[in-house]
Amino acid sequence: MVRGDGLYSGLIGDLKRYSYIKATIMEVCGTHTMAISRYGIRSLLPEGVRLISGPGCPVCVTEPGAISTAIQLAESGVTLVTFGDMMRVPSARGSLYQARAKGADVRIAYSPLDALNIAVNNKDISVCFFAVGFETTIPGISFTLKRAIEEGIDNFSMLTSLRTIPPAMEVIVKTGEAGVDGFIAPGHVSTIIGSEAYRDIAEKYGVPTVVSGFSAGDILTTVSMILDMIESNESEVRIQYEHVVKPEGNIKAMKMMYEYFNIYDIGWRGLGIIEKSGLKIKEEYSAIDALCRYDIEIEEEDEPEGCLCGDVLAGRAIPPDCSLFGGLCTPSKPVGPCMVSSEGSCAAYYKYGGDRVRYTI
Amino acid sequence: MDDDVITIADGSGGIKTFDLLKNVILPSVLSSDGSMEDGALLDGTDLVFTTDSFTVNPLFFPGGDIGKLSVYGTVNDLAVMGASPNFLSLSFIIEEGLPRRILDSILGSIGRAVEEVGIKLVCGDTKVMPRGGVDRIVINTSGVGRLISGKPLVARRAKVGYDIVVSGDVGRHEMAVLLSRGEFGIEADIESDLAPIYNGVKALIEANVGLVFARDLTRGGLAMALYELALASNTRVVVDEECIPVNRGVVGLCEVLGFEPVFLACEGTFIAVVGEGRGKEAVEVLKQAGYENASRIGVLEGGERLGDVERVIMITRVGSPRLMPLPTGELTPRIC
Repeated sequence: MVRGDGLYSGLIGDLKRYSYIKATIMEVCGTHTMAISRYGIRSLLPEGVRLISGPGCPVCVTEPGAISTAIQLAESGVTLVTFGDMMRVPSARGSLYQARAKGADVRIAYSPLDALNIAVNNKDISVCFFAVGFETTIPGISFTLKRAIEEGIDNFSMLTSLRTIPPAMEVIVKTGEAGVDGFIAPGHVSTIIGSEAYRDIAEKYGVPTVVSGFSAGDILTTVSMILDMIESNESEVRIQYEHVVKPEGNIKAMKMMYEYFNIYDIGWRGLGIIEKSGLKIKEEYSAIDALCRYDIEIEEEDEPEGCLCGDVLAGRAIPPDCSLFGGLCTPSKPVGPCMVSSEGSCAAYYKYGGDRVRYTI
Repeated sequence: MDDDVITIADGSGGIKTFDLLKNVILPSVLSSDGSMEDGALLDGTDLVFTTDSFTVNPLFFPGGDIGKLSVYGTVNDLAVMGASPNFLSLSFIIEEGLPRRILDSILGSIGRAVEEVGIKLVCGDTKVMPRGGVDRIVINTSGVGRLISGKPLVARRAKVGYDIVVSGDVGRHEMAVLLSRGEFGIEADIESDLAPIYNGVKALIEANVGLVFARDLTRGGLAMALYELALASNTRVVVDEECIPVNRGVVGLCEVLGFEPVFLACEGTFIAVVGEGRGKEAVEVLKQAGYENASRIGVLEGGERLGDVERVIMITRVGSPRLMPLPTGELTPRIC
């Protein structure tokens, strides 16, 4: 499960050197959030070092109205296909799982191309792919659009809620509400956009940023690299995940992203509308955009009552701060998306214990 | 938003199934508290009774098929109660249009499995439903067996200090079935662990290692079995991640798909709780019986005043403690 066994005692020992530092480090990406909890990383860090989660869980930051719209489409007879994590997120209209149990045709896909194949193989149904995600998944979604358009698959459409990560990171340090002293930058997203994408943020706001891999050793090394920069008063972008991430990213994949999408202002749960942080299908391809095809809109919807997901995603709160956490809101009866997603901070805390595991080895 | 319909997650074997059983089904049909064990000791006898329904997609998967599964599944439920496989009932609900060759093949497989474990097939039933009324074929088997362990093997007999062993690597059955659906577009050489476990349980009973509880790791996997053990015995389970055997292929695929091996179902692997300090001995006994990956994975500690979710602790390979998560519902691969 963990690569590089045997390295840990050294890494953990090195971290002790920073025990005089008080720092809040945000892991932006949901996969890091999960890995940190799964490996019990928090209990290995110096007292003063706090890890908080950021907005990098695609399911979590998707605005609740988009889920209601997807359910509305499914209930109107469209075959709605989406990623599994999206199924259980509650909205004003319930969840997609509930819509499916009540008879709507809702299916889980593991890649956008799977959704397209459903359309290709079932000409008698209308298939809509509900696409959420960041730069990691957007190139694949673009590729799927390309194929659908080029092959004229007219029973296929997409409902998109796609976002780019750096603008959200900038809002977080700009407002300063989370008191972030360093970023663990996402590994997968960075394979596409490259580490240079964070340079402005790191330098302008003085926040050391390190692109990290996902193993326990990777994350411990990354924390050590960030603390090292804090100690020496540097704020650069560095790459820990260096065998995978390049400074310039994957230019071909980025080109693919912008071939079919325009940048626009989109709402993020917890962070509000962030300028130029969303991607929507270009007008010339509007025939494949479900919003145009079915003439519907994503309406604004309130957060569930009492739910702190928004604050958790913005780094203003940690899951146990929420009065619903663990009582009224659990993974089997989630109120907010952070308790649903396999990348959600509340789910990670609930499942693995976060910093509240009361056990001494 | 009410739970006004049953969803797939309610039947996934995780905490939702546990809740449905405990809060909805049992209170509606029983006047007293129901035990959550795999079988029941019939009053005034040494007979154990169990029942199970089987549905699997695809019907044939690497390492087995629904026929074999429906025999071994019930034999294993008897075994983990401490009972031998003696009598079996066999019922089919078949969808109109099921090709005969498929039924023949399933029947052949059932015949071989019945012969292998030496259980006696004594009654059965067959129904055919109109197309769409059921997905191809559902099989129900019930089993009756004779207690060979003196007392039934039940979780409440497990005490603080007792050792926990697992009979083999975890997660292979569910991974093999998931892959054979072809939905991930991944091909890997992973076979289900489907097998009868009676000989393993029997070996532990005969070796007098203080066996008090056994549980086959079906839906909900190792994680669910450990939670049920901790809850029913009012203890805390502490397991060592490094000691939990997992097939390398399963580890890799879990990383790719975002699954936990400890959530994935097995069909020929079980945990056993044995006396204090007897774990090592139990592992040797299992190895002798052919369970070459058997391993002592942990121990039971005091569990007073613990919340339900804090009951199973896993010491990670990094050396830090964290909770073993409770399985919640349908497996959904991550997207990022």
